[in-house]
Amino acid sequence: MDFRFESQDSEETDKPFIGFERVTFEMTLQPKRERRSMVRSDTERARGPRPVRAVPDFESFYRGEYRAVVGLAYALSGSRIAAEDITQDAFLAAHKEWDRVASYDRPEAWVRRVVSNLSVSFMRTKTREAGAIIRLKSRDAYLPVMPEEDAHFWKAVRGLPRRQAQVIALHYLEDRPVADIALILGCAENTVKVHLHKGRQRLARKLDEREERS
Amino acid sequence: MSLESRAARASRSLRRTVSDLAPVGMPAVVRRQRLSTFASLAAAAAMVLVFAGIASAMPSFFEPEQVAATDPSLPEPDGSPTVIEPDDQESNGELVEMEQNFDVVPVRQMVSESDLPSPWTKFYGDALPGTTVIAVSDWGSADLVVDERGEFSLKLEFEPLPPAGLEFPILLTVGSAAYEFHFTSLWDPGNVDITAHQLYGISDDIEAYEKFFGTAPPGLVISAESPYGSATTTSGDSGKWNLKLWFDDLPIGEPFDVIVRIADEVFTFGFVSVYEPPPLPISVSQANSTSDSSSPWVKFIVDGPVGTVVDISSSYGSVSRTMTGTNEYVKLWFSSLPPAGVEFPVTVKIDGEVWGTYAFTSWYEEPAPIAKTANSTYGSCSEDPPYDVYYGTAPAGTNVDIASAYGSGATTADGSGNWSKQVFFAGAPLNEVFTVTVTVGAEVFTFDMVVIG
Repeated sequence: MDFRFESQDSEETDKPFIGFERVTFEMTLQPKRERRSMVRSDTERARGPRPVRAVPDFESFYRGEYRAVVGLAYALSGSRIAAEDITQDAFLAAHKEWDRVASYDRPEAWVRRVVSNLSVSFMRTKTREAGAIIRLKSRDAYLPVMPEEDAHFWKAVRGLPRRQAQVIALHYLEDRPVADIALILGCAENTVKVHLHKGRQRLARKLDEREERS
Repeated sequence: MSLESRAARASRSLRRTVSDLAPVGMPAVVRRQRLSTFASLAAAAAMVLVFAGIASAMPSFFEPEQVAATDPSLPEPDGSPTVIEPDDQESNGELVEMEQNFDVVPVRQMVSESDLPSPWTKFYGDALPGTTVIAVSDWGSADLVVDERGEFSLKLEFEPLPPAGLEFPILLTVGSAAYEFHFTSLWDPGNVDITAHQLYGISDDIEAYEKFFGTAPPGLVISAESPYGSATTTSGDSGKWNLKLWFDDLPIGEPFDVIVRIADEVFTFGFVSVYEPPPLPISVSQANSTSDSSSPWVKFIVDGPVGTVVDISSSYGSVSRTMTGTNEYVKLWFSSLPPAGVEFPVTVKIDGEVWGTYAFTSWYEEPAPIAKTANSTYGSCSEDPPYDVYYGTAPAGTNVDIASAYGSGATTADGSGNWSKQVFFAGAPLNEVFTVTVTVGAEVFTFDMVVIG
């Protein structure tokens, strides 16, 4: 297919972008809901010919993100068994939809959103544990155990309201800025700031209370 | 230790925990078919097979996907997807579909029977994001793709209407898992009860209306009649009807009956209007704020409903009036004269509540008291008969007596404080002085008089 960019302010627009048209074509024909939050804004894109980004291959993406995503799942689910299970499910879902997910500027944000949503339900976590134990019984070891004090910190995080826990985990564990967290969770930056502020206050109070008791 | 320090330490600890973790095997999932049409057909066909009792003999029909299980030692659940050879020798084969989840937390059906004219059922549960959920029945189908939350709620509305009392199967597929549910519609358009209900029974609006509603077999005419209006409607296909009846010239406070007829059924309802006209707005305005009269008054113009009690009070008198019309003048005559030029307050109360305080000034000054005086006009006289005229001032009404040896008279001071009297002295000796005494009230004046010959 001979496809050209439609930009009017560049002499290069007359040159066919052979080899890149597939990217352009897909991005144009996939007005999915997720795309609005995961890709750059139209305003930004309309300034000139788009830089063309190669579709990342799933394997390198998977290997590069796996550990961090397991960490996030572990922090939010509190289960060494379920964390890996949740991570696998998220990557499996990404793999199935890879054509779409890969076209996002930040596919890792999509995976983290799925993990954040899957990890915060207690019932889901317990169900996953049950399923994983059945399926993984031949495995020798799960994730190593954290020191008690640190484990307690994450337990306190999980005791926060769902959104606050997600924001706190992404903020501290992944050291992500507010804009990133907003992108991952699909909410406004101000909302993230509010959750972060309230979550930190509540978390500090919880930890202090525990220190006093001990 | 601060929160930041704790968080940093806990984060380091958690990162260390996962740092040695090797990614499990790469998934070798055969790309899922884009399922809208294909999966619907597959699910429908699967349902037929299930009914025929041969589905178990063809399990692969329900498996549109193939996933990797790189560790052959892992137990393989019944009906699990086909296993293909691993492509990564380091993997341990954990990246598999969560078929078990659906066994542990099954999909649930919200309602399995309904007596509604538009029956529906709903399925909800958990599934991986991107999983296609399809519900298929002889009376309709629905599908969705599970979003990032990993939860779904699929509503299936039945169209056309299933026969009343027929229990029919619904096949629900969640990814590669299949479930069979049942549903029974109990709604029978030919067997709808005739019912009628009234919504209000009373109205306080000047334009009153009543609403009636109920059920009846489709197509029946429903009429509502009353002495003050009537209306008709027809029951709809759903077996429901509702009717709005407007009333004209409705008497206030007098209950009456409304008859609703549906086929041979007659329903009687009562209705009454309790409309109350809104109260007239009250207004008070002062007609005059000064007076130079010796009998000053202040007047107010009051608008309000009949029966309103208006009280006007001041330091110089007060008045109370109950209004007999909706617009009245209420005047307060001051019982004692207010000091001239001094502004004083006048308070107006409406039905006992202070409505406002107004200012009033009287400019009338009381005149100084009139002195008692007496004067003689001539003092001598050559006329025949001789006379003199006496005059003076005295407070109005004061008696004046004039007396002498040769003549006398009496008069009274007039309203302006003046008096005057002519007295004749018949028989008085010529050229001889005599005394005339004038008594004004209690004061006595004497004058000499002589008749000149």
